[in-house]
Amino acid sequence: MVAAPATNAPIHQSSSDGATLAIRDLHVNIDSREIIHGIDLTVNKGEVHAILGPNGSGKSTLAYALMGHPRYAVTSGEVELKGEDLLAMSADERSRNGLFLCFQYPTSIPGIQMGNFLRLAMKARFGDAAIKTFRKELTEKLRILKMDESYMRRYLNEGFSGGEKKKAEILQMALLKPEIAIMDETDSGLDVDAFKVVADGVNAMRGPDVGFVVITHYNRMLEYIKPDFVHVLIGGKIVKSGGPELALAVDQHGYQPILEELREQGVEIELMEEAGATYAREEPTEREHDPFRSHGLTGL
Amino acid sequence: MTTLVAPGTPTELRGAGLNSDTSRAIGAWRGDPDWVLDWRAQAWAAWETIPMPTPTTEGWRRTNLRILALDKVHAISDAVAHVTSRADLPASLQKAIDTGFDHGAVLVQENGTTILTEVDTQLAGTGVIVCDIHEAIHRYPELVRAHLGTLVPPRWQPGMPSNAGKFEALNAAFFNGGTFVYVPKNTTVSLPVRSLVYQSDADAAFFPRSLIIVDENARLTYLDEYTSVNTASPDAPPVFGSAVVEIIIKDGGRVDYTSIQEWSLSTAGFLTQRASLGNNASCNWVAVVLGGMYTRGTADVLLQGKGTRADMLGLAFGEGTQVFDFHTLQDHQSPFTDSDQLYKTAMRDRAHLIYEGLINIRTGSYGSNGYQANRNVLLSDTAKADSIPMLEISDNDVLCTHGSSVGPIDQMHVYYLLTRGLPRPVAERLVIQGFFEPVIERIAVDDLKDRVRAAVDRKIGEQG
Ligand SMILES: Nc1ncnc2c1ncn2[C@@H]1O[C@H](COP(=O)(O)OP(=O)(O)O)[C@@H](O)[C@H]1O
Ligand SMILES: [Mg+2]
Repeated sequence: MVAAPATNAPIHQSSSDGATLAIRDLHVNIDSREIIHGIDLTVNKGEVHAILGPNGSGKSTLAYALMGHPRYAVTSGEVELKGEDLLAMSADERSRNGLFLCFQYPTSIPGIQMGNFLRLAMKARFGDAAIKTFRKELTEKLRILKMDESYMRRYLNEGFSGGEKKKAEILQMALLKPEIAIMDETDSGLDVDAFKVVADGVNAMRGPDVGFVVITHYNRMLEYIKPDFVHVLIGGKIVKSGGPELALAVDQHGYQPILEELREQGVEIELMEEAGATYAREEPTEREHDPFRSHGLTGL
Repeated sequence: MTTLVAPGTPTELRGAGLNSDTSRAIGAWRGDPDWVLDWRAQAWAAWETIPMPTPTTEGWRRTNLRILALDKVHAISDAVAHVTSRADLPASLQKAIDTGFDHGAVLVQENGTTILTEVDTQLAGTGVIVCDIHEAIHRYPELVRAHLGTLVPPRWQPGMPSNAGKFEALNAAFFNGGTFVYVPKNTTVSLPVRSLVYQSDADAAFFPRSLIIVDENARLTYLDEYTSVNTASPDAPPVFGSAVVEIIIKDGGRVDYTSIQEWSLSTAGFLTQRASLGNNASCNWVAVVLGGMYTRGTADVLLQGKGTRADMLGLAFGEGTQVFDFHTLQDHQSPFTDSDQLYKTAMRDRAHLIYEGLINIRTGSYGSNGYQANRNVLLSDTAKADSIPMLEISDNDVLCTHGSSVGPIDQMHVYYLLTRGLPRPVAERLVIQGFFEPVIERIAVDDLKDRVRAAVDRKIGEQG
């Protein structure tokens, strides 16, 4: 682990005891190939952490593993959510305990109406009482996200544009009020207007009750959502942590200087196959691995 | 309503088996005119002549009829007393018909007896007839005689497999109960007409035969529901019966037909439904099958007239050891006829689905389109689905597609819902509901959509 440069922001690595989310030496496999090679990260409520990293570095893998995706196998390490063993929980328990993931590629499910789905999700998280206030809350969040009521009758993400899908993710996040929210490249693929709406939606949620992990590809998001901590994830490891200035440095110089610095220190980084081609900071393309798209029964 | 049921009950027939004497006795008790008595006799002869299907018979390869105990069933049950109002119905039937939407008419039948008939006065004023089939035989003899058995005759028909029509013949020989509907020319019945056929006598067979006639440019919405009790003990022979529905849609007519089969899980039954369409007629047909330990479902549309259109939708959910044995036919007999079928099923536990669907484009049916899709989801490793879509095309200039799939529930759909906190059983139920929704969406009448959703929810909510 590379020591973070001195910064005015408090450094999070001190102790993970009592943290809202504490990740210790996490290793994750996909199909028996190790993708995440030991990650430590502590996130508390009220904090915003940004994770930057080139394509294929393992950002989504980290997010999926935390959210209990069946294809992502945690082989060693510990994760605690509010002091409880997250890895022992099923995906739905993780959610009900306050973890939320805004998916990079949200799944479309034909036949399930958005409104009905949201009501069930609210009931699962907050119990029957939530149903009473559901409509009012929904109307308010829809307004903030500039979404029309008619979304509620549409099928879940079915036929939604990229921007609509991301807004729908933020809507769910806003309603379910997580204590830890992971946003996986929510900013990518959005036009300027949608981007602003999404960023405003997130800022409206910010506060002492929620900790954010904002996975992003480039700096645009971080200009709107100012992070307290910035981590650079390359080759399945967090290779550098710091404050907002780290994001600025990456934005200006890319990952090359960090890689060189590491090489000088003799730290080995395993670059993923795709990684080489994606060091230029550009929009991720649709041909990235999408575990939802590559799996699943079509034609239902 | 005038009751044409002879005084007294067929108590003396109770216990009688399936034989020609009983068939005649039922006819006599019902006061059948000679032509119906003849018809029953012909039917009995057909039942005796048509060979019993075996596992080597085409169309019956996956069917196990050994579960039936035909030598043990009673041909008829005690007649059940009529009730004067809904309030006098058994609570379960009250609940079943009180589903929160208005009806044009309701007929409730128990063990072959029509115990309640409600017909909206306005509807009756338009000349629409909704009554018990036996009543119709007496009051509208010409109308009934001209149509009864024209689509499902009590005999083997040339061109059909040698065993076809066997259980339909059995129905004709013993038919007892059933609904008759007639909609005069140019008349629209907008509120659904409902028939609820309930078998509460587990030892007696049920043989309802319904006849629905929609005259030229008339329109009818019809909801056809079937329920039955469980046997007294789990090892008793199954509740048995064979129901037949004939739907005749004349030129320019339209029928929205929804049938919901919710037999008990100890019922083994046959449900044969056949519709014919005259020139430019159309039907929107939804077959919902949820009950029965064994269900032989036959759903045929005969596109007889030019420019006809049939939408055939099907939905089934099975669990335990339920067997669904579906056979459908889209029979294009004229030019410019369209049929579009979508059958979706989900099987859990050791449930087994058999689907054989045939699109037959006959010579002279140029310019026709026939579509067929059968999608099956298996919710357990032990569940099974055999899907056999078939095409027979004897004309050019037609467009046909068919396809079928069998696979597990999409775990990525389930996972997404889990990540939003929905417990797995709730998530799976929602995905199954979503899977069925494209079928339900195509039901043309909103009230019926909700009725079907409620039936599906009841069924898939039973577990988890
Ligand atoms: N579903 C998958 N199947 C196989 N390999 C995958 C899958 N998802 C990701 N990977 C691999 O894991 C590595 C990390 O991918 P990912 O976590 O998606 O990176 P990022 O989100 O940082 O772009 C890549 O090498 C990628 O090829
Ligand atoms: Mg990613």
